[in-house]
Amino acid sequence: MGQDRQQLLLAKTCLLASQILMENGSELSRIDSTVKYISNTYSEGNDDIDAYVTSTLIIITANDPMDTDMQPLVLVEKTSVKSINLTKIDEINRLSRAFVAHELTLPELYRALQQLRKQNLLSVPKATAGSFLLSSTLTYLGTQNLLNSFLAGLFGMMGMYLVLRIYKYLHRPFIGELVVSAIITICVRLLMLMIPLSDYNAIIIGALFPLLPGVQLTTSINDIFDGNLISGPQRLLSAMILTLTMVLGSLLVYTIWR
Amino acid sequence: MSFLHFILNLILIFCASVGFAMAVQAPNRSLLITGTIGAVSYIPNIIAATLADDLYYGIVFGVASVTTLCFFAARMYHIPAFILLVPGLVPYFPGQKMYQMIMSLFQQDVDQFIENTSGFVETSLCIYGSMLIVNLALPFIVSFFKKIKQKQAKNIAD
Repeated sequence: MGQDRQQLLLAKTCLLASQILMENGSELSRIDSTVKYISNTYSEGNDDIDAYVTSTLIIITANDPMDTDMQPLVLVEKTSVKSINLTKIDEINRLSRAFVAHELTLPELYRALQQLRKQNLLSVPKATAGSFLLSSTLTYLGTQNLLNSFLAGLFGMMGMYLVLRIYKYLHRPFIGELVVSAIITICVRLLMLMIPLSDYNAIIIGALFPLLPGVQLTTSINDIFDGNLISGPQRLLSAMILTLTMVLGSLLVYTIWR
Repeated sequence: MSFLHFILNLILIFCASVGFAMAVQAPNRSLLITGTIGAVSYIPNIIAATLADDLYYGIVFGVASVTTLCFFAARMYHIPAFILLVPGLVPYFPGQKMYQMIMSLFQQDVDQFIENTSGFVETSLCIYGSMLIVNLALPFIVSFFKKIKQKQAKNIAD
């Protein structure tokens, strides 16, 4: 019985670690390797722990190969990519390394993961400042125009702030990006009535840079090349839908404006 | 391209990589590393693009240098390579091409759509092909050099 409880705790720990990684945009190979490190460290190869992970579902199976009478343990959890937060991925890496080095016991690791999941490591000032830096620098690289790059940075910062706020209240993907791209396009068009802007499209695209799904594209292609033909195309589709919603937002404004 | 213009571009790419890392909530200890990787990758990018007179060769070599530097930096600083790789690739992401591709589709501009789609697909192939080749080759190269070092150490001991 005690061993069953330990195995259940091991499986729940692996499930929780996988969930946090998936929710924060990690690639699948990292999730697989984290589960393997945790299970191999704890059971020294005596327990067979496997993880099957897609963008919306995580299945953890635990089996003791030495005990033929034992029913395999299966844990299933729904999940989704909520946001990209590399700090949480780094924290999971740190905790799993500490566990592998025997600095943490399994119950301590489980508690630490539970606390990490509840923690809100999102820093809105950091995200908005980063968006300003990204939008302004990439727009300057493309247009060599200080005014355009400053405006792109400003609207990029505003866009990131609004997307984070909209997601906080609605908890729905894509809506924030649709609304924000429309707002940015409106702001640029209104500004054009007052100041002649040389390349307003570059300002809009520059402002949307932080929201464009570069990370999702990278992880989806990584997953496909790793042989994950369910989650890889899922993420690729999600990235394309995200871009589509941003384009739709801008197009709506162009159409109404005309 | 003048030297000052080159230095300015290096600084801009450094700032862009750091900015993106901040936007995706990368840990603070990785910001400087990721910015440096992004900026350093610009050098092989510009050399390859100038010599071959083709933007895509620059992307291949730029991405290869980002992937290689992330591989070694991850081991030196105990940071997951993924955290360094994603912001380092920001100058090469085809997100803008994808946006323009979909926009031209809705505007029924067929020529632009074909041009943007081919640009998006070619950029994506360059990026991910380069990453795949480097990810496959690097472990072999590293283990090869480790074997040479072990042989040299053994010879010295003998």
